[in-house]
Amino acid sequence: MRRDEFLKLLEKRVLFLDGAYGTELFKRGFRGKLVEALNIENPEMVRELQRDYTDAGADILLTNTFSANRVKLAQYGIEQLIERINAKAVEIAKSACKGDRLVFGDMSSTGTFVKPLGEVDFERAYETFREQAQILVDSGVDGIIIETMSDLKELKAAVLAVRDVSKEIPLIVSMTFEEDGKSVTGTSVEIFATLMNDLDVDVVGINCTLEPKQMLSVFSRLAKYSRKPLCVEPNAGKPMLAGNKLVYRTSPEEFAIYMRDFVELGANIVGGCCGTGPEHIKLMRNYIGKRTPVQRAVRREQFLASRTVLKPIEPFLIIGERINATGKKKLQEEIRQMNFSQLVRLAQEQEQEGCAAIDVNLGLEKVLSEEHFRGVINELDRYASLPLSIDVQTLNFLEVCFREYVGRALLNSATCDEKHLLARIELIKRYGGMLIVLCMEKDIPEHSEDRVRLAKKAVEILKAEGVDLERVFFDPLVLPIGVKKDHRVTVETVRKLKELGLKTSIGLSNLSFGLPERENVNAAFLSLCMDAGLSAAILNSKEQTTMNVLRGALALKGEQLVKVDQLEEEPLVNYILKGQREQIMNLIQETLKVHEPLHVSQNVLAKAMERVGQLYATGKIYLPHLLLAAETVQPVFDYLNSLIGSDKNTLGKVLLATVQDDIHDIGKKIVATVLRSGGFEVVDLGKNVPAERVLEAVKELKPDIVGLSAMMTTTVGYVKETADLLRKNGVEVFVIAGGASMNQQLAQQFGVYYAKDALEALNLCKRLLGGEKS
Amino acid sequence: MVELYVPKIEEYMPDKAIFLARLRTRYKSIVDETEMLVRFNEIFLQGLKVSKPVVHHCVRPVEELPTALIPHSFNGVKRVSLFLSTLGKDIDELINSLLEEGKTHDATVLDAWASEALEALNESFDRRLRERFNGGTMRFSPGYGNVDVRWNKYIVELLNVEDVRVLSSGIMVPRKTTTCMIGWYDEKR
Repeated sequence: MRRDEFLKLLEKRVLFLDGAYGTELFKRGFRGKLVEALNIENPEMVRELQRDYTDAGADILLTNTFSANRVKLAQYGIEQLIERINAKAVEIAKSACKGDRLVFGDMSSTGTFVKPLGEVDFERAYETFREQAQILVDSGVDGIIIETMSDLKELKAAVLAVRDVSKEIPLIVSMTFEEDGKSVTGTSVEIFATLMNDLDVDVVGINCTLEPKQMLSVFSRLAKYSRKPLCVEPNAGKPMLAGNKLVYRTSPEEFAIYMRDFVELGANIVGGCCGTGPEHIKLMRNYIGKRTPVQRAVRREQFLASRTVLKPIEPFLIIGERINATGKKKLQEEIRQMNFSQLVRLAQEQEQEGCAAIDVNLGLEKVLSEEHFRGVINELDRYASLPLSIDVQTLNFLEVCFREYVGRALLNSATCDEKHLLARIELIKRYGGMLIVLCMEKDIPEHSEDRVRLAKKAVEILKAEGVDLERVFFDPLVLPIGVKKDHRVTVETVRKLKELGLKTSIGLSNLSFGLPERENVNAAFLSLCMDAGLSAAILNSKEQTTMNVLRGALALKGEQLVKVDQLEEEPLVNYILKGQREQIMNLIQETLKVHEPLHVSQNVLAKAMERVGQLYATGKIYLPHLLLAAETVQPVFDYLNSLIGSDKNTLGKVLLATVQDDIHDIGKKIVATVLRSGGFEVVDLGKNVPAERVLEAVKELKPDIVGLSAMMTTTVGYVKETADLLRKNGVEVFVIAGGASMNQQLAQQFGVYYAKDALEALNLCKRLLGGEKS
Repeated sequence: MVELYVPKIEEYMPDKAIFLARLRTRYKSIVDETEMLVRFNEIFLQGLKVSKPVVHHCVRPVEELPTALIPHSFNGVKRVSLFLSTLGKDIDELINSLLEEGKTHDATVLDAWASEALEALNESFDRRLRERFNGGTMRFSPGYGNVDVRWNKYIVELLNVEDVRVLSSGIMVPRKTTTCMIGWYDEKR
């Protein structure tokens, strides 16, 4: 099916997607490890389910290929079957289809995070998705859905891969969020929507993790920010144990009633995720019926975004200028040596000073390689929060940055030269983002009229390329005074561009280059430009006068900057949150002069980590921050332990394992990291660990606590099996279980403790052992 | 012959927009208030849980029915389907108990839901009858037009419905009960 046909269909009526595959196939008796293997081992079983979905009224059937990418298949040792599994899945789905029903190729995560959060290179993720997409498209799918993604960067790799396989295939993308509207990697639903507004996708959605009731408010937020048609697939609740079977508590009627709400909120495609079956889809279809999609009111403002921070560009965009290696030999050399610590510090400082974005200019580019640019982008993603303004001149380096960047960055900059501009338009069309266009071609025009003429020329090119002018700032150009340059030309150009309805941005400090008392001159000039209608400035946020004048100028217009939500924490906590290990060590060394190592470990460092935990629990920081903090303090704990000289500083020993037949590791590793940073000794048995192996290890290592992880609804039963085996053998140990498929009720039924996330696991471990020891 | 029909759940699930409209609430206007939606949905589910909907129905030649029962708009019909739909007594009791507990909001919402659930049931049963009998009149209930509401008693007796009581006013108990008629022309019109 062509994209335009699909989009027309979406305008006409709400479409119905099918329900779950994994949970439904297990319900129907599948007992293997990977449901995708059924495509070649028992195709009739898959076909039967898909026929049931067709009979239930699904307009779109998904292929049984959710985990059929090379990375996932390799974990089961069947990566050589990738082509057969995917191609056969398409054939089965097509044979189960009736009439004008559509078959969409189903793709999802590789099960690992992309660097810098995980170990997988962006390009490897891209190639993995490209390979699967190619097979699905070649096999004749009508569209592709990429769903259950929790890492925006991995999703971006998948989108680019699919689009490189086919520009014409309809594409639905869907992320999974917690109830607070954030993915486990800290990306909010608004950031997701904002980036997807730019990327070449057709439909944007949310699926999995939440039941319909919990998903409503998250979807409502998506509906306000997404300019694309919407898709939603909630779970049928959390799994519960009924006898020996896992059941989902959301009944078809409850599901249908809530799905009607999603339609009213603006959903164009509705379907089900884990726990839903043909009966859910049938009742939903019958209840909702044939319905024209609701017209939504979507927020039209522009935002810049990093992985975790969304910044509106109104009423004025402050871009920090201080990451600029031009003319700074020491900084340039550090960058060349792949030492980005000063860049990170500068980014963090500028965030504290009230910037909304950080300009990144690495100076002399010819001495750098792609790896430098990739490294900078990843390092800033890892250690700094604000969106970036990528101030890179060399086109292929610029592309490396935009490809690697997670979020919606500002491209700084294009000139009005057609070739130069078109190349950069191409980048923001492919990777998303906003653009600064300099009002010049090869040379800078002397007069304001000529700069505006060039801007108008650029406007025509942008329009012809389908770029919304709201995504573009025009730079009227600021030249140093004192070389017969007239700053009033810039002010006049700002005024004229404003009259044309265009946004403007300047590099403020250029004006005072080489002058004494730069701050005063900059501030005065900024005031003039703001009065003429300036929308943004790249400036030195350390200049108090400039920042005060900016606030004053806005106040005169009846506006104010969106309040910067800064964390005011004690120094040690701040250092931990920023990953500044050197500063932590210095502070710890100072403290050691007056306290014993044990005291420092337990009453200083551990307390600071507790505070970090509280910040995470209250949503002030996100998972990447928590992990960064844990990784940062670990060597400091190790150092203190070496001074203590025994294991008496350990709060206890925890044995971790992902249960049998489950190969998901991320969550457990996060728990291990957080537990270690919290003072526990952790032994990780790995993944796919049979109950007998856990028992053996418990007998040998004598841990205080066993932590079991189960991601899949199909493997969660092994938690019970393992706990039962330990009990049967008279092993006295606390057993904690976690993972996407676990919940409090299941844990009670299994006779184990439950921890929702790493932090809860840490607190629970402390509680259990504290209680036991006291 | 009187028949009994037990509807499928989707046949008496009222559309949210209509059920909310009965509460003078515009669905579109409250759809962002997710807590409110959840509360409405919980009441909706409660309504589904306690409702025991059934339809008693029969079809009679028009001449066998009292003239005063036949509305003017049925002129020319040969046969008449009469049916009584009810959600049962439990929903009445639940509404009453909510009121007694001072949960006026929930009781009001549930009452509105039940009225629209009954209407949804009548609509779907109407469609079902039309598939069977083809060309007919619009659906009609005593109390409208020229037919006195007290004819309800006659219909309840005709359909032998034991669980429904008709007061002298023509009001039926359980309250979420209606009687309807559709006339059939038995010819192509």
